Amino acid sequence: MLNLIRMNLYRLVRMKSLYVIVIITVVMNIATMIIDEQMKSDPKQAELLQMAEETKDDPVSNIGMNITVTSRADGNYNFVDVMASPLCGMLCALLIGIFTVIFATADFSTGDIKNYGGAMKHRYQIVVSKVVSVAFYTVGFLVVFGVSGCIGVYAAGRKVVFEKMGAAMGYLGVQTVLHIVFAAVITCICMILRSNLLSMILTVCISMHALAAVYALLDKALVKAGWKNANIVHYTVSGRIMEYAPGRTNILGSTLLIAGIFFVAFLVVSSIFVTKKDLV
Amino acid sequence: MSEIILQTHELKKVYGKQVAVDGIDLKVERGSIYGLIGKNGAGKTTTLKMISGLAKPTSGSFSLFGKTGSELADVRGRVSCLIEEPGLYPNMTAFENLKAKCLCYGVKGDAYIKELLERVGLANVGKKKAGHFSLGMKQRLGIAMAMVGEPDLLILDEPINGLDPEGIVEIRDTLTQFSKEKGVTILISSHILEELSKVATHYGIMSKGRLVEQLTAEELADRCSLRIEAVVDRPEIAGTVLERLGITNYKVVDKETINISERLEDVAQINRALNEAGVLVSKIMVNNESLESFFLTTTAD
Repeated sequence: MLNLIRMNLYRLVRMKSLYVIVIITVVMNIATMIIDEQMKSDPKQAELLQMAEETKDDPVSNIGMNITVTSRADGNYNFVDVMASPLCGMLCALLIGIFTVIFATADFSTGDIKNYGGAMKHRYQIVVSKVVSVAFYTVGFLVVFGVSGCIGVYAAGRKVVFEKMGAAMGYLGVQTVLHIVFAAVITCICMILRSNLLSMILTVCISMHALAAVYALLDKALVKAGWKNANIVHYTVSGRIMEYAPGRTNILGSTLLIAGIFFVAFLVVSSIFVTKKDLV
Repeated sequence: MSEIILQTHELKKVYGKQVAVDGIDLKVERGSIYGLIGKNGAGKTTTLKMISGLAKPTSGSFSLFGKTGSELADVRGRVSCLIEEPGLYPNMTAFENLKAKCLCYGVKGDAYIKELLERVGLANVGKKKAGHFSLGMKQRLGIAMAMVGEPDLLILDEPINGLDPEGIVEIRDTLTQFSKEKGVTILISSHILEELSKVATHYGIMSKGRLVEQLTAEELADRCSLRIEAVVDRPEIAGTVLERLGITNYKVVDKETINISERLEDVAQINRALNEAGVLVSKIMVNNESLESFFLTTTAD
């Protein structure tokens, strides 16, 4: 298993798409902060920003993303706010998901799975090793995101304020766990679908709230079945990524429980699938 | 008798309604180079996929190194394969592709990777990405990847596909050397018997999902050796004459040629009998059957 993880990490760091996504993230983060600052100095644009700010707490009502980094009264930014908006807005999840799909389906699309898949003592190791590898990637990505976000703030002529770091790290820790589980779920979906295209479409749909209509239909059916105020997205990992804002420690327990259930369920189902089905 | 390291029993694979492999029983001895031959679609690749653990049999079973059923998992690591086109990462070099496989198998040492590259004639490719390799180079790298970890059983599916004549010779020599020096058993498939005949010690001939014949290299040599080839004007009458002489092992090849595979010493007697029956014999001689002809005859409908 350790050898398989080593191999996956080796090919992970040699994937071009990893560096493409990292470069996009850094450039986008810095550029966004600079543009954001310029917009705030223009009254017309500031009004638009205000509107976006007001609707950002309604994350599942619309398709797409709403990412507005809230500044302090003095114009500077709290470190936790630099991270919270892209995390809750699913931007990080989208970028993590895109790379996860490319990485998790690469051995099937290149045929590399034939080189080692048959020699595995237990095929579930293929899934687990990939999940471990994308977990490393997720942590690395979030670090890059945080650092580039801070650089963006300074590039925009503002400062990052590191206060209440205990609570901030706790919040970021939970979001990191949620994003790791999100990446693990995407990996498992890739192992089941084995299609780069379908997995990518599904990942983008989840990250961009395009499944809102599906969730709404499910909610309707559940309400009819007797579950008052059913809100299925509330019980999903992506829903929790959006809902878990700084300070919402009241949903910490249920959030971690949902993350744990999703993680185990998808790992088990995809492992069974990979074990029972032909690899090629 | 040598140890049997691979034995299949009524191995069958069905995809939907299509029977890809229909209950084959093959035996592979330790240290042999077993050539699995058959036309395209005969079921060779599916058989190899099942043996290498990539596909599950619909029914039947097989044993590897004496292990069968759930115990097979213990010996899977001793088998390595190259099935269909080589699975390579196009943005990685030959060295990096091999390094990834070495990490997976827990094999350490860059020197080992360089030795493998040398063995398959890719020592000088440098930092060229595998995606820019020719088909032949990819095939060589695929073979090198299959050799990682010195497997006891090496499964190669049409490994000479895309290779130039020089490359074919190099790979053939490499495989023979690998088998002799390391005692590796090689199960190799091809649809070209002529090529397989230069390396294989044993053969299994597949047709329409079935294993129609298994034979050793010596037996194949015997089978392809001598026969009487007669060119006549009326082969249908010639057939009747031959049967009257008690000859049943003959084949009408085309509208004027008959091949007789028995009583090779009685050429003169057969010639006289044909003449007496009014069959005009323009040529009659003892000849060799080509491997190709043997293959076509064996796999004919």
